[in-house]
Amino acid sequence: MSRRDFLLRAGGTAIAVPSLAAILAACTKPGTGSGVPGASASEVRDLLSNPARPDNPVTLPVFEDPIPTDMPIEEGATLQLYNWKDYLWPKLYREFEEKYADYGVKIEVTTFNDIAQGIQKVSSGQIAADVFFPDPSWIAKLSVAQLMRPLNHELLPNLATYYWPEFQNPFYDQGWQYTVPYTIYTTGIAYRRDHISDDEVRAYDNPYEILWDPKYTGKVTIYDDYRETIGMSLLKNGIANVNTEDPAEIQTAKDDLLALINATDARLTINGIYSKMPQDEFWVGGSWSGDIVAAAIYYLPKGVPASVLGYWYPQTGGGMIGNDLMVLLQSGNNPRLAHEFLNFMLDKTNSYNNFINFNGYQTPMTSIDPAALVPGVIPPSLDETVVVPKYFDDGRFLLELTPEGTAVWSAAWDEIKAGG
Amino acid sequence: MRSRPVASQTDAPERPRVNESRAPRVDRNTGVHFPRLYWPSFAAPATIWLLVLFVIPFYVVVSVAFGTTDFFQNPLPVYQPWYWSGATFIDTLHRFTASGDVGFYRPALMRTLIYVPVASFICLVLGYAVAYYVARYGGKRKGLFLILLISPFWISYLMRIYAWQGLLQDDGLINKGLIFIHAIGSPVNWLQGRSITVIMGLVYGYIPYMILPLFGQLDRVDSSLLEAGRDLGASPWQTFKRVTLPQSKQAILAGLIIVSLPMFGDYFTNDLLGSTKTSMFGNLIDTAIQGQGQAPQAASLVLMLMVLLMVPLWYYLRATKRAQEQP
Repeated sequence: MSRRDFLLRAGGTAIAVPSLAAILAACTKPGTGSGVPGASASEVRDLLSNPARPDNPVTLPVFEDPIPTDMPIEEGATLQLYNWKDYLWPKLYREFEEKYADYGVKIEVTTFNDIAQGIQKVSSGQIAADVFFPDPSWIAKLSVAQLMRPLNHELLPNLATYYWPEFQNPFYDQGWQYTVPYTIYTTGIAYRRDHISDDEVRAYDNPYEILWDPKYTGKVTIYDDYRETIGMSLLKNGIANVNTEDPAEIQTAKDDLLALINATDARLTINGIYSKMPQDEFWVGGSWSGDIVAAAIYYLPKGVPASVLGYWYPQTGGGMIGNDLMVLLQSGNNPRLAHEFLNFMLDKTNSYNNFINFNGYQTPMTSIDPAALVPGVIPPSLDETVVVPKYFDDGRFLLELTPEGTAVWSAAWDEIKAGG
Repeated sequence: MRSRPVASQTDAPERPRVNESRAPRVDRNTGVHFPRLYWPSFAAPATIWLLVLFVIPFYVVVSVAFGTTDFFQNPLPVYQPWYWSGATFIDTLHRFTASGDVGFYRPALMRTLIYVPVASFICLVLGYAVAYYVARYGGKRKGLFLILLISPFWISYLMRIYAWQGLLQDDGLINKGLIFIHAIGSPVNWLQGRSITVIMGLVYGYIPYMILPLFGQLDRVDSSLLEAGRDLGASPWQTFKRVTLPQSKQAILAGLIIVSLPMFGDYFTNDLLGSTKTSMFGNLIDTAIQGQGQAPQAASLVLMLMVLLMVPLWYYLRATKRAQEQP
């Protein structure tokens, strides 16, 4: 997007957003009705109050047919991607552009820093994109609001060819009507092995307790992310349901996190693991598997071996897992080309290159032998970052909460962030 | 304002009143004719600016605070006051006023009410000394000194705070220096939520705004007044107290207002140099605005902060008015 375009669009939305809302609001009291054209208030309420769970698989409503298979690829198109920052290897854009050079294709990328911001921009119409990278907890809302395009499976043969069966019919999108997988990850504990030995971490009854240990005062970081961090505190307290909406359980987790901050002066960060731990600023912290792999691949200062970084994830299962997705948005103008892009990213070579050369996040492909990733791709000290299919059997997914549940979690987080 | 119509009346006393109001104004001194809206039009840019960038956005903030959220929990401002709901506002207020755990916003408010006055006072003491020196003893180099004072602003605030992060790290220069002079035995964790670090950050970030108005005022103090004070037998301290200080009172107030108002809303200094243990009011707003579905709460906090800020502002306006009334 050129600077001029950006300014025009930014200015346009700044004016359009409040005025459009004002016009709509002028008719009826805002907030009443389903707020979604084509869906009744009760349909929306049902979907929101019964969010998808592994034991409650959801088939999302579809409001239109996928594009036909014989639809021609758009010529001279600019494919708009809306993705997390630093989450896709830029070389792949160029390869895609070269592959479709006959069609004069270009790729433009816009990024967001956290998914809530991404959703806000997509749902308010501030961003128009062909491809978007959300996580499963947002899919139901995006479908009901008719912001996504259904997928034509014939145009995406790579999914069936290369991907784990778990992702060919996921519980959050039965029949993969809208979504294909992008990355998978676990959330465990990352630590500096030059200060903390592997045995030390695993010697705790429940290794999450290491974050609470005053021995590491000043050297602890936890994610500035309410779902991940409260979720981890729930697991530390033996509450296995990381999507609980029980106020008493949330309070237990919240009080324990306040105790953690009090005991260790822990700091809430997003870059604490991938950027600050390699600098030795933090010694231990809650961590996404991909973050610590990225830390080992790109962020360690010269001369520091990757073996200084360690990662623990419960090998017996029961730890937190997650995955990100690729979806097509209605606001994009190039649905056919967007299908090509999805299939391109699902290709086993492209997907693997993105993982090992750039973002550190594994993809759920059958062609990747998890056992063979160490030591060639992943340093031996980080072997527990490898995601294996069995984690998805009993892993703790952070999934969509009901609006009431979100309010309970948010209030707990407000208290943690306000400081004692 | 009243003199101009009178002037035109004296020019043409027999003219009917209706026409007179439409008649071009005549400047009494120059005799130049001005259209009726000529002078008021000078206020138009500022009026439009205020309307577009303050009054309307402020109404949106109020509408968000008393509004609701949509399906995606994005803010859904309610523009019709008859639909406003004060529930979120009252809940948010409750987080300050309720006793026990429910009032969990109170510590952050108390910290803000301590950090900001302390930091403003330190700004004043340090800033006054610097401004005084430059104004009285800067001589020909006054301009150079001023440029040097402003020069840190050529570098982004973020970069400068990152530099502080480096200095304050466990193995940073500050700890190394303090250990070298045996002031401390082992490194201090300056960045782990320490009030002193946050206050230092606030002082560092805002002190130039204190120095500039003080310099402007002190530079205008007539040195012959100081000489007169000394001639009349006052000691240097008495001269300062009875001549210089009273003349710089307005600048002191202005400086305090200029630095403390933004400090009350500051959140990034604590974000970058503190932790949740040193959260301030601005951090409460920041957390709410980034939280899912909490925009009405964030807007409520903004309104509360505005009310809070009116107290020092009101004092400043009153003091200024009083100073003008004095002969």
